[in-house]
Amino acid sequence: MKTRHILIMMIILSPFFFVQNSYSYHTLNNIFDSAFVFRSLPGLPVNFRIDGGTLGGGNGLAIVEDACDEWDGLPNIPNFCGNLNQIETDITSSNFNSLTDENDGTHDIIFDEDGSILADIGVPGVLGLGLTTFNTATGQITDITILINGSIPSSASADLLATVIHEMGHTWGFAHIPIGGINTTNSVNGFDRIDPDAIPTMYPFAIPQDDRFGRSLESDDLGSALLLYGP
Amino acid sequence: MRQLFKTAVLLTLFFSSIMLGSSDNSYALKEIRSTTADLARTADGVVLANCVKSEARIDEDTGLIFTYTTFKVDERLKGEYGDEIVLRIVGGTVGEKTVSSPYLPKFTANEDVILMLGPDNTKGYPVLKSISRGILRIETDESGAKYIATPVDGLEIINSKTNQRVVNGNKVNLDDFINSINEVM
Repeated sequence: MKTRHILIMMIILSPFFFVQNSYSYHTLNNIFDSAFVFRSLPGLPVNFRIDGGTLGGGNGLAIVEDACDEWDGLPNIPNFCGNLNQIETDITSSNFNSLTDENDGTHDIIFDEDGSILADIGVPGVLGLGLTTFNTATGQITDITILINGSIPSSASADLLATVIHEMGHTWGFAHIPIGGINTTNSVNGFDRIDPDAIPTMYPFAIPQDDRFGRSLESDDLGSALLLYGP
Repeated sequence: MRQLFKTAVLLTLFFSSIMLGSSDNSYALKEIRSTTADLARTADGVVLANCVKSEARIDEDTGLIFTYTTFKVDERLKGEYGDEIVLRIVGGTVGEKTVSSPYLPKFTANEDVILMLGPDNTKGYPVLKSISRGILRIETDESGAKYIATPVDGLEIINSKTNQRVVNGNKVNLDDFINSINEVM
């Protein structure tokens, strides 16, 4: 067997050997007409319309800017964020329906200060939600709506900046990465706990030791980005 | 060689997806993790229900797609509910258009579940107390006994017949679960 064949076999079989704690990266995808479809943006950067309201009683725009800086700092990837246009209107549950149009191609970041928009759309209590509208056949993302829950005060147990970075990741087309699960469930015998600083930002729960560790992207997050948007 | 490498990466992703889907790590969104017992304590309502139908529709105002899932309420464990409840949750597919966030819950007709519910939203629909952990899926084993197929934690399981503590909590019998959850609510 040639070396390249061995290499390919190793790549194919690697998930079976490292099933519990070594997923490398995960992207959102679906099967359409028996074809494997990656979900991704047609191009970068993404221009956002930013809610004019506050987030956690403070300036939400600054948090979004910091989140963009983190994603835009990834090597060998074009910048994810383009213009951040903050409107004057505070988007709330009372005007959400009239101000949101999932068909207009405007990508929104909404500060749900009291959590009522998230409750109204059936997803209460989450720290954030990254919604994408996409073509099921092609996987092309056509509209983004990110909702950040301002009713949960930002703290070491639930960090708003880490949440914005995480939800942005979903809207780029990245799925959850379960690395870090053994830190919280203790259900996996024989595996060492992961340094919380190394838990990927796309881990689906607030990092219990300190959620601010989620502010930095890890190599697994970079792996997803390189797959979809790398050179 | 480049083509072979691409094929290998795609196959790797395929197998990884299968394994991720079969693990219990596929939680929704990003939220603060609560135990089953905590959710039962803080929920406004807990019902044993059977899924009747699930239907996705486009909301004319926002262009968002919502999935409306109708449940027949078989047993009210906590809270006052009618014979039927409808959950309205963002996400779904209509034609070639899909609105999605990873791991929003999906239900299949005739599926039995326990739903832990929060207060109704301003649209008048009940909401899940936790989008990732407020649904306990029920399955039937070879002997015909129903059990909770979703991981249960933070809850001491007490056998409903013997009133003895159940040591092996990996596959929690439905009657035992209801008996135990009633103790913490």
